[in-house]
Amino acid sequence: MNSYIKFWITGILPFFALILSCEFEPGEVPESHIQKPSVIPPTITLDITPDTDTLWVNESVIIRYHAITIPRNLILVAFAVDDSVIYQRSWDLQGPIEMTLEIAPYEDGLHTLYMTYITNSNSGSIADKTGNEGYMYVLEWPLVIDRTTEHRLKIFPIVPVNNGVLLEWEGFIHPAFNNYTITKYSDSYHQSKTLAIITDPGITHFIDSTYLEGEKAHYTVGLNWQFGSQSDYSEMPEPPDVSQTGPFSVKISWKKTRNPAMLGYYLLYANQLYPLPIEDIVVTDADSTSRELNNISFGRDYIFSIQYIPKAYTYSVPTNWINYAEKSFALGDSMESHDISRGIPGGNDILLIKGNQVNNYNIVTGESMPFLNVDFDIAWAINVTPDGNHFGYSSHEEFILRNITTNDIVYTVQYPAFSSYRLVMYTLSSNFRMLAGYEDGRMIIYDLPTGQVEAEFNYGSRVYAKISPDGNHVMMRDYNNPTNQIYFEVVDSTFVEIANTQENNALQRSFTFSPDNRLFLFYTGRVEIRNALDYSIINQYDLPAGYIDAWDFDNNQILAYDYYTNTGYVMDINTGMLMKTIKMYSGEFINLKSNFVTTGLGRKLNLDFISGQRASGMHKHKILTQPISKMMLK
Amino acid sequence: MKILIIAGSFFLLSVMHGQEIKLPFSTIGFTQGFGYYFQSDLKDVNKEVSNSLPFEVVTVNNFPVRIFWGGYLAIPLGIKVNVGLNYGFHSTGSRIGQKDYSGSYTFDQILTSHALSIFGDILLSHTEHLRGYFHLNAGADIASWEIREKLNISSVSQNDEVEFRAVCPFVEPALVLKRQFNHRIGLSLRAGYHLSFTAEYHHPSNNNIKTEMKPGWSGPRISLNLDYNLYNEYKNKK
Repeated sequence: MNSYIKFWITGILPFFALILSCEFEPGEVPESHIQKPSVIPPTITLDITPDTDTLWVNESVIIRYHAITIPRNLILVAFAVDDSVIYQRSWDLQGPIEMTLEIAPYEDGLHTLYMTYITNSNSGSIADKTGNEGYMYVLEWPLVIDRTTEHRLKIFPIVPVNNGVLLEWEGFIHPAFNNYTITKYSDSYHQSKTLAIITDPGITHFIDSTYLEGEKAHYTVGLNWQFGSQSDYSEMPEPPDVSQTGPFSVKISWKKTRNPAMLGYYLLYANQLYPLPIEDIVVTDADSTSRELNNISFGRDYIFSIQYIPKAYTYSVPTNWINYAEKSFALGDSMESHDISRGIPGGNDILLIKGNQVNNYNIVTGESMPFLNVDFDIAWAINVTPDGNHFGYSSHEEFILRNITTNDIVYTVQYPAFSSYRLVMYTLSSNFRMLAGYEDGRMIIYDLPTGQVEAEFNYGSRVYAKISPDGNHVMMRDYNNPTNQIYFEVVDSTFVEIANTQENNALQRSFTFSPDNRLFLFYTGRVEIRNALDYSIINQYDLPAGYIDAWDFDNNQILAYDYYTNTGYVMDINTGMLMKTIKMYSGEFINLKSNFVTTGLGRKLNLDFISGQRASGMHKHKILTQPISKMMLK
Repeated sequence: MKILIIAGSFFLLSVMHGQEIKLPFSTIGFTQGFGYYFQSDLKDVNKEVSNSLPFEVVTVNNFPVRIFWGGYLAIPLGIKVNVGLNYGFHSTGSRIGQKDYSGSYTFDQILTSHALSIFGDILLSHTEHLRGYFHLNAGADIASWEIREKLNISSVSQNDEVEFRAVCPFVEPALVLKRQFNHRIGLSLRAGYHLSFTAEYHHPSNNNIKTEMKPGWSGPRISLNLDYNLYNEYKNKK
């Protein structure tokens, strides 16, 4: 071997090998003492919209998410539909963030949207700091893709059942099915409530045991969520039954609720606020279904209402949105309703005037005959002669007198038409005289057979006046100031003043002549009976209260009415002896006839059924000094 | 491994010594010494890397004082001057890194240099057994700058390595104190300063890829040198 080569091989190369082996080698890195993070993931809060248990879509949808992971950092969000990742984001993850889920690649049906959220572990380790260590949260969201235009479940008619109402609907067997969500909006509570979520597609009915009679409910049967087909159901309770249990008392009964568990209380009330209000009655016992009410007034239509008030969810239930059932009731027996009535002396008949129609009604038998239909110049103004043989009225500026039995016209008088002053009233005597009063205060006595003016007087202002049954006397009160009253005798076609007095308690039209020619003057709390011939006083008595509302000379009865207590007092018209006390209301026209009190509402109250005394000492057509002229006028 | 290499080298050298080989120089020498390499720029690199990382790191090595090896061949020019060829191998480096239950991270910078030079020794003074020389060494550092970054997390590993090379001229003046034990063997202590001139580092396979940084090799050097006189001329001249 060449010596040089040998030198290099044996000397130099080992030398180089020696020194090359001395290249710098770094030391080992000491291990830190960072603790491993817990294997139990800490809680995070996810705020995701749409906020539904199932994401039901028929088109692409925007999903908004916001993950609260403090103190850890959200480092990755990824969404996957079934097995395919469709969305991934690792930057700027401070929410809320929106992403659009495109449904074009997927078939209709049930899918799963996996929403993966990854946070760091916050351990401080290398893996943590480099984003390779953390916690992963996966939310599985059922995704229903259903491109069919609409899935409206047909709801069958809702029917009442024992403890509520039964809802039935058409079933939905479909891969997209998740549940039927039954919700109800109730007017009783002004709020919605989810009643049930049914996950079996084969169950297509539900009994709402929270329903109570009268509730106005709006049901929704939703497919997989709370929106869907809707059906209103509003049940009317059965009207209560009202029966009279005493002269002025009634018993009101209603049907027991079929859902006692939901009943808060029965609410019974009357729509009548006046004269004396009946306070609302609350009945909390579901088995208690009747109440008796006393102090029911005659002359008033009552409407009794019953409501079934449900138990409150959280606060008191407003009752005005709950259906109620009502039943009307009025004391007494039924008769024809009327505007005014005129009793016919000497029998049980009474003329009932309603608008232009006049019927002759027998108050005892209840028989009614159409009697007349006429255009009145003065509304309802019919007068019956005191003897009860004729009646008269004005129509088309004529005064017509008819026979009350045959209804034939006896006389027709064209009364003067004063262009400036209209006819405002008239009364009849039993001898065919008529006193007409005009607006200007003019009083004219006509002789009906001849149509001539017998006498005339002008008081100067409007008056209220009546002629006596004998046709020779006139009682007048100032219409506007009824404390001024004048009594006239007609002598030689002249009004001769017999008395001119001031009576503080005089009531405007409250005076009348009896058929036996007595003058009854009615004042507040008092009655005066005078001789119609000379105005001398025969008797006077005080009233228990109020003022005179009706009288019946055939039965010697007079009815006083106390407005404040809504009490009627039936008294002997001659003596003032109290015979009957009745609960009544004088809102409509009240009359007395044949021991009945009548009201324009169409009711009559038989006073025989009211405890008390009948009138004694009948003064039937007693003649004083003149031929009898029966008269009954109000 | 290093021990085996060193042992093998001396074994071969002893074999060679037993042969009758005529070489064109009279003295062969071996050098072992300590070198300090400033490398302030590369230390800054470590700081920048450390700051850029999301986790804390520790500095394991930061261009420490290192042993270097070398050798030389010399020819005497008279009794006061020696000239020759010198070779030295230098290597230093740094490591920053982190290690925990989840994995490890290291960032290493490895610098190596093959310093080739010519030198001259001028005798300044001497006694019976000691001689003092002024030593001047001039040549070039054939340098390599290797960067290794390694991240292990669980079973996943990510490695990045890149190497740049450069030829950096240098001069290294030194003073030498030498003890001659016999006519063949002498031992000297050399102390000097390696003054390196910067040069561009470039990628080994593409010279156009250059670094902005130009790590040099400047720094103090101190070494022990073992001479072996091949032809006993020292004894004759003495």
